[in-house]
Amino acid sequence: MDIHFKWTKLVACPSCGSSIFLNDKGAELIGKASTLSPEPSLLKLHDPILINNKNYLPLGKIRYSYGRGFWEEWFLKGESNQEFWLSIDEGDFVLEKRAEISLPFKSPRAVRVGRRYGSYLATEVGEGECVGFEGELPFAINIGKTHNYLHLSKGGGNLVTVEFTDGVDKIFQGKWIDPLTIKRVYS
Amino acid sequence: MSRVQSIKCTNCAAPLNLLGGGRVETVTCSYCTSVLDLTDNYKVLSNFKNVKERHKLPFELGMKGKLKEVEYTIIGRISYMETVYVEHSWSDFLLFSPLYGYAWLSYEHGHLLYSKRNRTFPNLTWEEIENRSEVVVDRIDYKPYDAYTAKVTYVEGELTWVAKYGDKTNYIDLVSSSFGITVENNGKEIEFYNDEYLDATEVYEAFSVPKEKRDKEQGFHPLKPFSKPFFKTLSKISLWFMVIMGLLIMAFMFDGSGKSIASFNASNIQPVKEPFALSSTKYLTAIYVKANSTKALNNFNIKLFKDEKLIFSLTKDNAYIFDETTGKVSKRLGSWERRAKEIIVYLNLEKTGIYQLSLLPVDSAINSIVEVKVRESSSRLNYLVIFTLLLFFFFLIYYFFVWQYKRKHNSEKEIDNDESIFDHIDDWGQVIIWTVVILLIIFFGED
Repeated sequence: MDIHFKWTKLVACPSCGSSIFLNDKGAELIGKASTLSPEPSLLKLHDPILINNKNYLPLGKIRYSYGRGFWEEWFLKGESNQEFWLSIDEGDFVLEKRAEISLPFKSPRAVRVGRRYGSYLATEVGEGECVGFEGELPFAINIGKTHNYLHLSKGGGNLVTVEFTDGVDKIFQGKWIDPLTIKRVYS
Repeated sequence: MSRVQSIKCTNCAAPLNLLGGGRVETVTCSYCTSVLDLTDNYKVLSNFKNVKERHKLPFELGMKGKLKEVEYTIIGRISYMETVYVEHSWSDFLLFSPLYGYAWLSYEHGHLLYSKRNRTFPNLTWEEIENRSEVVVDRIDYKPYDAYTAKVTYVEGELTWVAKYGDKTNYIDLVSSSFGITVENNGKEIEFYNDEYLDATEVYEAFSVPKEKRDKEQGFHPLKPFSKPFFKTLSKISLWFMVIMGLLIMAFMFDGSGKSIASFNASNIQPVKEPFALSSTKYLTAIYVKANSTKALNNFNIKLFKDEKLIFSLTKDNAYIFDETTGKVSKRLGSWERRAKEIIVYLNLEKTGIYQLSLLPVDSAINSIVEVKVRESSSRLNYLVIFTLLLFFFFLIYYFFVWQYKRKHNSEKEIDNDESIFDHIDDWGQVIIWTVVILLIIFFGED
C-alpha cells in the first residue's frame, strides 16, 4: 500500500477496504471503511490535475451527505507537498488550504447568513453527515458524525470556510474555481 | 449529486422523473401542477392549477443538449413577468449536469441567454449596487442597465428552492457588451449570475428542437451582440480604397496640375482665332472659358482646329468631335449648362503641335466678353473624387448601423449612469466625419 503524503494519518486499503490509522507507533486497524457508491466526478484518485497551471494530486476524499444529495471534500497534494482541499458540490468547486487568520466574531455558531462581519459576508451555514472516505487523509474522521461549516465571502471569488465540528474550529481560505478550468495532466 | 429517480405524484399519481441533483427541493407535476416537496416526503406545498399562462415554448423538460462544452439536461422551468412593465416576461429553464452542476437557459421572446452563478462579485449590498455607476467583476466594467421587480407566473419540473405563484424577486441587470450580470434579491439572499447571449440556432441544434417549434427573435435585447458582417467588411475595404484613392488624388493633383499655354480674351466685336502650341499629351488639355454673365457665355461658339482642320466644336446647344482625316462627326457630346457663366472643357488631344482656338460671337450686337485660358497636362479628378465619396458613403453605412444600435441600446436603458465625455466619443466621431464630408464637398465643389 503506497502512502503519498508524509503527514497522512488515515488510509483506506484499496484491496480489503480496511481503515488504517497511522500514528507514531505504527499502523493500527480501526475498522472497515464503508464503500462509497461510484458517482461521476471530474477527479480521480492519484490522477493529477491542473488548476490555473498548478499541479495537484488527489490523494483522498471524504463524502458528506445532506439528505437528498452529498458533497465531497477532496484532499490534494500541491506542488510543494502542501495540503489542499477541493470541495465539490454539484458544480460548485472551491480550492482552499488551512489558514491561521483571526475572524471578527467569537463563535461561528452565532453567525447569521446575509450579515456582514468586518470584511466578510456570511453566505452559507450548513451541515452534512460524514458517510465515508477513500484514499488517504491527513487526519482521522468519524463516519456518521455531523460536520458543520460556515462560508464567509470576501468578494471577488475569495472564500473563507470555518469548520466547527466537535467544538474545534478549523479555518480554510481559498477561491471559487470554474470547473471548466480544471484539466487532467494525463488526459 | 443523485441518480435519476422515478416517483409518482402524491396528488395525481402521474409518473414523474427526477433528473436533477441533490440540491433540488421541489418538483412541480406537469399534469396536475402540484408543487411537491422533495425534502419532506413529496408533500404537496402549493398548486399552479388556476394559472392560465402556460404557453408552449421550444424547450421541454428532459431535453438534453451541449452548451458551453457541458452536457446539460433541462430539469425545470420557471416563468416570470415584470410587475410594472407586464410585457416584459421570460422563462428560465433549469439545466443540470452531474459534473458541472446547475445553469439556466433563459428564453425571452426568442432571445436565449446562458446564465451561471457568479462567485466573484465584490461584496456589495443591494443599495451599493443600485447606486454604482459601474461595477468591476473579473476585470470587466459592468454598467447598471435596468432595475425591476418580477413575479413568478408559472413553474414546471424541478427547482432548487420552493417557488410559489406570485413570489416576487428584485433584479438589477448589469451590462457590458454582450455579457451581463443579473443581481437577484428575493428578500432572503442576493445571488449573482453571469449572463451570456447565445446564438438561438446553435442552441436549438444543440437541444435538437424541431424546426417548426423554433421561434424567431422578436424585438431588442441589450445583450444581443451588434452584428453586420457584410457592412463591416464593406466599411474596411472602403477605408483601404479611400486611402489608395486619396494618395492617387494627391499624386494626380501634384503631377497633373497643368501648365498654362495660352491666355487671351474674346468679345462680341472682336472674334479671335488664337494659336497655341501643345508640347505634351500627358493627361488632358483644359480650356477654361469665363464670362461675366450667362448671356455673354451663351453668345459664343468655340471651335478648335489642328492644321486648319476642325477637330472640335462647342456651342450653347451642342458639342461635336470631328474625325481629323475625314472631317466627319465622330462623337456628339452634350453642351454646357445654360445658366453657366464659366466652363472647363477637357480634351484628350493625341498629338502635340500647333492648334488654333476660335471664339466667334453668335450675335455681335450682344455685349459680351470672355476670358480664355488653355492648360496642358491637366488631370481631371472629378471621377476619382466621386468614387472616393462613394467609398466614403460605403464606409459610413456600417457606422450608421452602429450609431443606430447604440441609440436603441441607450433608449431602452432604464438606469442613467454618470457618463464621461468619452462616452460621447461616437458623437464626436460623427462630427468629425461630417466635417470631412463638408470640407471635401467645398474643396472639390469649387472645381
